[in-house]
Amino acid sequence: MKGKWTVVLRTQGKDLELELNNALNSLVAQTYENLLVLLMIHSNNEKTIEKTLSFIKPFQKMLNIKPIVVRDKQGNRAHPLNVALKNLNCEYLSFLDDDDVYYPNMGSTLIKALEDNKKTFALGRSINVIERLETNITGEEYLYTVSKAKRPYQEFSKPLLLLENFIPFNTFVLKTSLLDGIKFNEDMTYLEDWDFLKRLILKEKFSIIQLDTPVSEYKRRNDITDTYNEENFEKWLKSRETTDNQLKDKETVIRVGDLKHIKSFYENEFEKQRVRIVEEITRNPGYRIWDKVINNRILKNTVVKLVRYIRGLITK
Amino acid sequence: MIKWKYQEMKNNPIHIQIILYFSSDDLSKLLSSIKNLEVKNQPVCFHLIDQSENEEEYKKILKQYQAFRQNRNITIKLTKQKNYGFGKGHNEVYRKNKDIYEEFFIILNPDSILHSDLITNINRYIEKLQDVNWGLLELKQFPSENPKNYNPVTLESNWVSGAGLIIHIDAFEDIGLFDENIFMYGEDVDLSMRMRMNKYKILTLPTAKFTHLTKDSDVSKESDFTRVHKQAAELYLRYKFAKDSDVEAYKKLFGEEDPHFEEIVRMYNKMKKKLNKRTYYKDFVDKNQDYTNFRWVM
Repeated sequence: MKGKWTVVLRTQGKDLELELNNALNSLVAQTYENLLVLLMIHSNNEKTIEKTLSFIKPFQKMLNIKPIVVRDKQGNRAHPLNVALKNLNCEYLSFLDDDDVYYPNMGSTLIKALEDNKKTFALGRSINVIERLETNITGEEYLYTVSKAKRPYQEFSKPLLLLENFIPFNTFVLKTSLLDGIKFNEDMTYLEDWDFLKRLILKEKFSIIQLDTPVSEYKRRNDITDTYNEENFEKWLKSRETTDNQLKDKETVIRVGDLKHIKSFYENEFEKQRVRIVEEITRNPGYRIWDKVINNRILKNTVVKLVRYIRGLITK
Repeated sequence: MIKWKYQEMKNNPIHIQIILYFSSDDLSKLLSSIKNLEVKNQPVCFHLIDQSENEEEYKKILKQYQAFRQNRNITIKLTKQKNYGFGKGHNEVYRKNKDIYEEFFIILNPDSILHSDLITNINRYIEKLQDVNWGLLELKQFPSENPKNYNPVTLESNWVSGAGLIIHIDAFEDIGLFDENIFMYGEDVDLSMRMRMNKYKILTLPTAKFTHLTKDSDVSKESDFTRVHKQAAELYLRYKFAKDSDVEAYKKLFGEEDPHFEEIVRMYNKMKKKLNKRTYYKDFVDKNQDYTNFRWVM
């Protein structure tokens, strides 16, 4: 029998058909056999709790699901994860939010990598998915996939992770022996997953195997439900400050090779920003007219003549 | 426009054809998901057809089939037939069973896990789309999707995948079933083109989902068998629906340096010879459509 793998699945019991449905179906499809799902229902609304428990019933025929209802500390994203950590009895652990999905190979690929390489942390690659809420001709509301693309490959580097949150929460499996008392920081509104990872990598037992294999989908919605919208930006900055401050006295070794990864990360980020700005500029109607003019030989000449003429008038 | 008469489906079983080819490893997950389907009072009949032409393989399938407990609403029929490939294989099963089919039937890949609400969702869509002149309704693959777009409101699509597909019987008969010149890959695009040429709509159903355990989701890791068949089919479809220059353009795209170039062209020539009539379809060569240029690239 292979070692038990627990997936901590966090939900608030909202959008059951649209989101939790997909997350659970992705777990049903797992090719790794010894799997337990700890479903953390974080809600104090009895109707929501009841609805969620009833929703998971068909899945329980195909999947080993243990639901745990967490009624206190509503809105605290870290709290249900800490409750889950207290209920662990397994060799391998991973996390999933109800709006994301695993690929069928997630557990089998990463656990095999952990075992074959005798490491404590296995990291895969994620696919970025953008969705939006749509209504179709049948009157049904559903999530339409706007785009799907592999996240740029980023070589793991400890110092880089201390600087930037580049590991999606649903792309790794770890050995529970690595936890050794580590908890999620309940003082943070956001970025609790990043803070948790930072604590993990500072452990002596931490050793990583990284694979270039897609194992999950990291979904974002281009509407107000997106965590990183402008409204939440202040809270996000505050969380960032908290995690930075809490670890400010910790020490770690920086290898010269790490600097290369840090440089490439910021180069990619810069490129992303550049593409975004160019897209914004090219969407501007004024720019589009100007672009057409300068790419047209006749119009370009006319414009050049006109500019010279105006310049002449100004000089006079 | 023909308006399909919606029939009360409750008493008429939904028939689902699944062609197996050395699929015994995939079968346990599929059967377990069939057992878990929410069908309410809707009878569903699965036709499993083994095309492996291998006794050992058939015995493995038979064992799993016998262990499955059928009930009043879910029945499974297991048969075997010669390895006709995908399209011809489904045509054969359809011809044998069409007298018991009503309005539509479904084809599905064996490497699938059915989502428990699939039948409920299919019935809901069929009811809501009764005024639409549809020929094909595509079930949504999960989690990997086909690299193509569909209209988010009308749900209309350029082509639909044969991995999970609802086929309207009248439209299917009207266009002459699957093209039997294609052994595997591309027959779904061909079917979609002919449906569109005959003014039948093809739609993607976003919430009628099944998990497709595709082994070829990463194009760079595709087997040579898959790639050769896909590229030969692409050439054939261009020959069938477009111009010679489009065929040549595609040959240039994968290049003579390709180690399988000769094999691909040989396979294409074989299919081409069997084709009775070329039909130019103006919408086939459209750079915005995935199947012509980079249909299988994510």
